[in-house]
Amino acid sequence: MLDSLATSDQYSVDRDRYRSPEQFAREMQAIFHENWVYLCHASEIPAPGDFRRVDVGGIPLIVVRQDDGSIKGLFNRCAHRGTTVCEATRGNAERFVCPYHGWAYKRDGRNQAPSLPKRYANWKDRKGKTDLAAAHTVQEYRGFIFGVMNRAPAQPLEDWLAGAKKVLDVWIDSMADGDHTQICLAPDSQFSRFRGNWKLQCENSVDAYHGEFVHGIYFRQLFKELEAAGQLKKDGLFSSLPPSAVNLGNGHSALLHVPLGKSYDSLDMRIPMIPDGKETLDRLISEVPADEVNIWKERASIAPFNMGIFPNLVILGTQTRRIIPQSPTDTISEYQVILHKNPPSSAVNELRLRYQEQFYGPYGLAAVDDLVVFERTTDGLGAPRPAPVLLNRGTGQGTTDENGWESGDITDEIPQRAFQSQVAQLLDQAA
Amino acid sequence: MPTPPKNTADQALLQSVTAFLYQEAKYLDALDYDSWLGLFTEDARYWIPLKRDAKDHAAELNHAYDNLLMLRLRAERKSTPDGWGQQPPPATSRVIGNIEVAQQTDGTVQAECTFICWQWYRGKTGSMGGRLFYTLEPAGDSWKIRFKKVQLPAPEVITGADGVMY
Repeated sequence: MLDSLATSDQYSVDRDRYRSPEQFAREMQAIFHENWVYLCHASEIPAPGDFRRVDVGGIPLIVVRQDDGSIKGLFNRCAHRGTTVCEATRGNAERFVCPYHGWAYKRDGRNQAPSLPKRYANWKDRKGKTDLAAAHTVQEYRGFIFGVMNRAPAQPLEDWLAGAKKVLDVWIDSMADGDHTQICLAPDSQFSRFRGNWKLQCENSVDAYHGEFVHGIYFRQLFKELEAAGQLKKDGLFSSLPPSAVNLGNGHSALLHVPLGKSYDSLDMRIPMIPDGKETLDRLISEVPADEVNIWKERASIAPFNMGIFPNLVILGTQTRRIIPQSPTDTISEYQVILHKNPPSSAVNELRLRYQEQFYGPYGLAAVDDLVVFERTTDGLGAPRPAPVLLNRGTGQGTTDENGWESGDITDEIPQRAFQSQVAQLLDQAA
Repeated sequence: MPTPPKNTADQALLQSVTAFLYQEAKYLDALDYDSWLGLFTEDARYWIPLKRDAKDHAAELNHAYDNLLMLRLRAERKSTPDGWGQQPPPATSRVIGNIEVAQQTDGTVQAECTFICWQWYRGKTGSMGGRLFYTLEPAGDSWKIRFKKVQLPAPEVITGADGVMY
């Protein structure tokens, strides 16, 4: 049923959205198989034959760079008996060979012939019918590769991205002077897994309301170290420019730590807790041209926003987060650090890596606490009452910002309403 | 590469390091982080690489590359009521084995061993295994850890919020 309460102060969703196997199956089909989903980053597969294996709502997919530079999404399922033909997470392949009976596929998915073909009558006439299946559409937007698995896209990618496109554009301009090929992902991923629904991670990644409660201990430690380093500002940690939560359309949303396009220098306050932080920052300052130091300090720090790109990508802090649903109450999150390809000092990327390890990673001091909260939410939602799950904070108090986006206090549940409304709409359209 | 003890001095060294590693494991199982931190030198490093073949802790993404401050912050979280990832604290029982030691010319000792850690966390039991690498420096009649590397079995090890320290 379509959400009709998006502007009501009663906005809520049924607990089944986080629990029900039927709901989950419908979501995988309507959201992950029939609409745009994030697959991987172009920097992970720069050369012909480079591939990245991913899971798209249960569809095992190999995203492969073709000889002509285009990208294909091959279903990782042998046309013979269904065995996967690719096991590695990343690599370069001329061919994908099934381990079971030796069927081999070129990197574009074509099967030349079954192995030992004599016992197949007329196999030559069946050309094309024993190829790997492929995602209907794969397309890149400025380094981020998206795809639609099972049908023609209902909307062109750039329309689908809606306001997220503008946030990406402004960010790539400030991160890389507009050249998105200067942004890459670190070659290795961190993973977390929690006993809870995938949407919990999506909602949490663009939730500013929980910070001082879930991460209270982190901030107390940070204040203490800042004070010890004589860096604790009286007017608080954050920029004096107003932050906001915005609805970017089509389920995308962002927490803007400063108004879009404004400078956000958040590096200094992170240094005291980062191992070798001061030495690394000093090295950055000495190695970067003097008139670019402030720019590169910003580029060494976190993004000026947390952005959720519906349904499964978050750009947050130093990283991309891919949310990988496994079952109604089992989710894997993949974290990849966003790095600069040719920074003027290696200290730039080192500061990004160290902050990732310290805050977000599975051994970090903060994001692990979110995982426990997700599991406790899963447990709590076993109770049928008092009411559906409330996402109504700040309803009716929003405004429209200078970009034309619904905007509110950064702690408002605008992102969660945007996300859940899109879930409801896509399920409704598919029904 | 450490080699098996050949003589009495080697055997004494192995015995001493073994006692030290057992004591460390006992502190961790007891969640006695103050005592555990006391085993490290002020300039110590604690490294959990992401990959088996990690070489460059600075240029690569790690799980952890801690100085003593970071280790202290971790320990502090474990005794705080709102350190949610530590509530309730995990229970562990670990076995240290296959200990090898090699005396260096500068007086330090390179040691390595395997570990198996049975763990309970939030109602679930599990286990982790891996290999530990140490640089130990003499401290009185025992040792201090100048460097410790925790080699987990595979880069794909998916980690939950179990908060277990190795």
